[in-house]
Amino acid sequence: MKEETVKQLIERYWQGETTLEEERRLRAFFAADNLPAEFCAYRALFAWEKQQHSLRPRRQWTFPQSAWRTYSYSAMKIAASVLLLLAFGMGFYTHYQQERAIDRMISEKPVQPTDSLLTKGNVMAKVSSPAWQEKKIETDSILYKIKETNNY
Amino acid sequence: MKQETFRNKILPIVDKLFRLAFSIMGNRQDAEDVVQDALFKIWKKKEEWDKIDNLEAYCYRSTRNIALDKLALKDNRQSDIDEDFDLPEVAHDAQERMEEAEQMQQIENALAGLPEKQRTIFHLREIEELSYKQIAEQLDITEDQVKVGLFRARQKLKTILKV
Repeated sequence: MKEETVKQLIERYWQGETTLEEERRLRAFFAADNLPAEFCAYRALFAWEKQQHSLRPRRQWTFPQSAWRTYSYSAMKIAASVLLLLAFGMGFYTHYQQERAIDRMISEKPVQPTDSLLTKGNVMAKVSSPAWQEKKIETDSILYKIKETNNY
Repeated sequence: MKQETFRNKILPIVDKLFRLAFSIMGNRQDAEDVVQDALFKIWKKKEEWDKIDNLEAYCYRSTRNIALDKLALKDNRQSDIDEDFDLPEVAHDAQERMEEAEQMQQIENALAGLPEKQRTIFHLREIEELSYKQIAEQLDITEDQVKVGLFRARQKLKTILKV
């Protein structure tokens, strides 16, 4: 491109009168090596434009799922926190209930067995406990002694 | 169907949306966040795509609006040109390269000082090589407003470059 043409194009460029095609020609001209000294000041402008045009994002987007993933990630974090709190809450509640149950067992007076509670199993259990067996032996020995006495 | 439209019409312009967001936000991290939000917002409106005449222009507008909202929440535009760009390759001499890098930083600063609309018009014309009509559509303004905005932005640069 002739220098004269370049000068005219630049003038029109500053006035905002150049077409896209003319602007492309200017860019190509200023990107070339061995640029005449008088045009060197323009080189930075077109180099800057070239640089801007080569700018690309580092992040990759495929389908909106990636966007969804980012947004649902926050929602998932909140849901996870709620679940964690619930789990802790349940744990504390169960532990509290157990503590209360143990306290009741220790502090409350033993319930006298009613008739309905005196099942065969209960009676057997009581008889088989060491205290009852001891009593039974004692009673048997008294009976034995009475029998012996009667013999005299 | 909608997934296909998203894949074939929206994803291919993601780089352009990113560059637009970058020109407004001034740094990569914010620009990527803007694109992320914009894609999500555009996808959420998928039922309305059929009613939109120009989906690309709609994507640009959504990206720009989100960028402007985010920018309003921040105190100032944070530019990190040094981190994102290498030194220019066109100049051979090390001294020349340094001078050119300095000039490019001046250009960046000058553009950062422009009103957002002028800067965006300049970006769409110079970087994305869009016609006045396309820019007008994407920014929802008239072609005359585009011409005036571009003229002012270029005049500012002319002053900076002292030519």
